[in-house]
Amino acid sequence: MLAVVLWCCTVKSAAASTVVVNNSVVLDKLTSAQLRSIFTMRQIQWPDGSPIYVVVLPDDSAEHQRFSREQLRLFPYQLTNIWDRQSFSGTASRPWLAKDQAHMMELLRTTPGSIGYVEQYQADPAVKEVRIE
Amino acid sequence: MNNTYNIAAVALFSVWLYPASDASAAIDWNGFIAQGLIQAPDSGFVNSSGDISAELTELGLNSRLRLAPAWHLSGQLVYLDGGNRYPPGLRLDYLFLDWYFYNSNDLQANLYLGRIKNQHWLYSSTRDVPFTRPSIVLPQSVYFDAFRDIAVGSDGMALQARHYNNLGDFTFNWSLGTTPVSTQQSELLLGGVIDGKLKMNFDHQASLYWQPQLSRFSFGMVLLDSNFSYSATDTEPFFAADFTVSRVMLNMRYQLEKWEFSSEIQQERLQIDGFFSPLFRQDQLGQGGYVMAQYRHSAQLRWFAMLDYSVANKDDRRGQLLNKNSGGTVPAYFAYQQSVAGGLSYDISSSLRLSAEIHWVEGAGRLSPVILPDVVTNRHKYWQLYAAQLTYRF
Repeated sequence: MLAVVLWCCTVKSAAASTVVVNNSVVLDKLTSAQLRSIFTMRQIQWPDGSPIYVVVLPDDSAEHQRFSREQLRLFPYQLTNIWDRQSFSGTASRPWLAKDQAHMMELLRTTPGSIGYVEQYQADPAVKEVRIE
Repeated sequence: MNNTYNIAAVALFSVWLYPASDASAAIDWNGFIAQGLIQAPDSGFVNSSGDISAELTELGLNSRLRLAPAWHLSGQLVYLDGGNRYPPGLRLDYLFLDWYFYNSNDLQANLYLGRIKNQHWLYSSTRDVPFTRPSIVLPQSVYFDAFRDIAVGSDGMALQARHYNNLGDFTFNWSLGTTPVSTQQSELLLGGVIDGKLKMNFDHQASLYWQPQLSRFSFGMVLLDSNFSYSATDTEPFFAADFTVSRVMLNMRYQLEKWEFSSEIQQERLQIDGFFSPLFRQDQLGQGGYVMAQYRHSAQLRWFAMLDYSVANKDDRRGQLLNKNSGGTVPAYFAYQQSVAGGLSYDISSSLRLSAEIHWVEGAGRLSPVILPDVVTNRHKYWQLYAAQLTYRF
């Protein structure tokens, strides 16, 4: 029984997404509602007025689907529908699309104001982890 | 398109053809091309002959330009051909300045100025974008195609504010504007025999959406008030008139991983002063709504089923009064329209979608023209609609 619980915890932590921002972002934590507001492109500026650049992985990637369900509490199709509706009604831009996690990290490192997510986050001086409350 | 917007659109899209000179400027492009086949054999919904038709064309190109962190310029051109459903041709769908004027942790707000989109109904802001709507032909009780050009947006201003707290997410929309009404549009609404000019004086809408925290439900309420005036010519048998349309709508959506349920219901008050005679007065309440279920069988395949119902006068649901008042010239089935529809869509790739659907319809209450019904073409109480469409997005 203990082994099963430990295995479940290990699997969960291995698959959990870490929200990562470029070091220029002054925040260290966000609420779940704020995170959802940012990834649904409703909040487009950080508190200091600088633009937010949202970076996501392709819709069909397992990492994106886990992030959408677990962190945003949205089904991936809901997120896609929101982006489609906003981009075709002119009220918001689409998030930037990273090819894979390595590309995601590269965009986050080099773009001030950017926010994204990675699994198995490794510390990097150009980016930082944001705690979700 | 009127001339002012013609010039603005050309200028805007010309500017966008050049690379941004400022590194902070950013531009996004999106577009879609959709072509289909449609047939409604026993009605004039698509054409008068009832033959199979390729008048199911929707093309769109839009762009959003960031001028400054809080300022954006958005525009979209669309070309639509829907047969009798709405006037065919190129339109400046929207062109507005977007000012993101309030930003805090729990409240954000935007002000939109220019030709704005209707953000109030569940599918109103992207009703012409095939992969953002659940069916090829939207439920006519709410998304009446004859009103498409009038309901899709207006020239004016809009406000959107989003707030979240312990009760959930709230979105408030408000808009005020007017829409140019073309001659073809006037004929679709009033009838093909008019000579005068229909003008919209204003369209005023407000809506509030609420998604309870961690809930799969969302709820919305919409209020609409609009006014039109008709200037008659000396050579036609009609008279100057005022038309006032007021609508109250409620909507809900319940989204699960595979299933999605949505519904919008509305009550609409139509007041007519004049038109048939200088002293003519009419004040009636219409009602309508739909319930739709969607099932995502896989990431590619989705099907839907829908019930749709509308009645022009809630005190004359089966049209006996309409028939009597018209001296028997307008059949009773023009007072209502109800339908059952089903269909599916398949994503061949991330940018290519094939959709197909069938509607079984009773009544002609949502067939154009509205005020002077076409009793010659629409001779059948029961009719069907078949449609298939291929959409490419970029």
